[in-house]
Amino acid sequence: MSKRKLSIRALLLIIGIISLVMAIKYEQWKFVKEILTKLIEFENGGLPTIT
Amino acid sequence: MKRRNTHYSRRITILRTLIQISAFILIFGGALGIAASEIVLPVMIPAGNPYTTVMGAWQLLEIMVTAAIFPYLAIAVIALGSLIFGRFFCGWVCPFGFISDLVSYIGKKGRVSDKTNISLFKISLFIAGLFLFIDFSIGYNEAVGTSIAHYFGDFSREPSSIIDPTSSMFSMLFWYFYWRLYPQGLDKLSQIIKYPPTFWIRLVIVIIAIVSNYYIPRLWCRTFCPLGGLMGLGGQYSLLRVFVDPKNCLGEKCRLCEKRCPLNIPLVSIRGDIRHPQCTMCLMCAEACPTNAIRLRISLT
Repeated sequence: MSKRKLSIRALLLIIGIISLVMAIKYEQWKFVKEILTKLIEFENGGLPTIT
Repeated sequence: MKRRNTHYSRRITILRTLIQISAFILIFGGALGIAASEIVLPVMIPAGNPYTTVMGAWQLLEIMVTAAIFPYLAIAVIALGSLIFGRFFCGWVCPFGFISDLVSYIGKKGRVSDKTNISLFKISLFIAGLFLFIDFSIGYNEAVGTSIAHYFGDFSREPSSIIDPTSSMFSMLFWYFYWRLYPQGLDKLSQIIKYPPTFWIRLVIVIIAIVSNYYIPRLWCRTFCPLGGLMGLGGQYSLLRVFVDPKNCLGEKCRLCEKRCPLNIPLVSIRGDIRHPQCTMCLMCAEACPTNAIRLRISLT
């Protein structure tokens, strides 16, 4: 395996695992649940506000 | 010994379409009573639609960054997703990819050269970088108390939604037609003329993004999708990949796989493991191959 491929895969793996550990530590899945269960208007740009 | 397909099969197309339909139904499963989950997938999924049951990694990343929260979960999904699956989810799960495929099935299936294809990929990377810069600028300024969010108006929490046809279709247009919340939507169509220019810009982008598939398959995906750019970047080194067996490939005299590939990957020229940033592993090439030389495989080397 080329050094370039190996190093990029190792980098992605390290970034992914560290991020996953930190996401678990800060319980970020709760944020996902919160976004999906409440009414958000982040993507409604261009529409008048809800009346 | 080379084994020939005696008849042309559409099995992979049918299987992929069934999976795409199932994924589409599950992603918007709230309409069927499926509860929202904590799952994050590396595809573009609108967070603003009330029926969404899973979160898109790019949308999560933007929403968290602009709220000055470091997006560990989104980064983990993008990094590990691209490392393991590459752009597999683009080809088999993405709701906008599914709509694009439906249009391209009946379309002209225009082709672009590989050089152009790589240039289009670089544009998607530039767009990803641009929106990440905007997101982190907003998030940083929120964190230090010098908010610049008001400069971005309605797009301060998800700046890329202005060019994202997924959120425009399934959030903005959904709410427009959801007359209970927007009574000026269906029953007073004359009001629409008073809508802000951003509404019209997004509507035009949605129409162009869908219609363009009639001429060139997945043009928006390969040119403007920020998540596709990021996934393609890591996907060149993914463990799961399309493999063209050089022993069975008929080579230059055949090229049926290249003719069938909706993303115009030069499979015969590359052969072996296909490490192309635009490859969504749709396996149309495998379906077209007369010698069964193409398959998906997990490659650690």
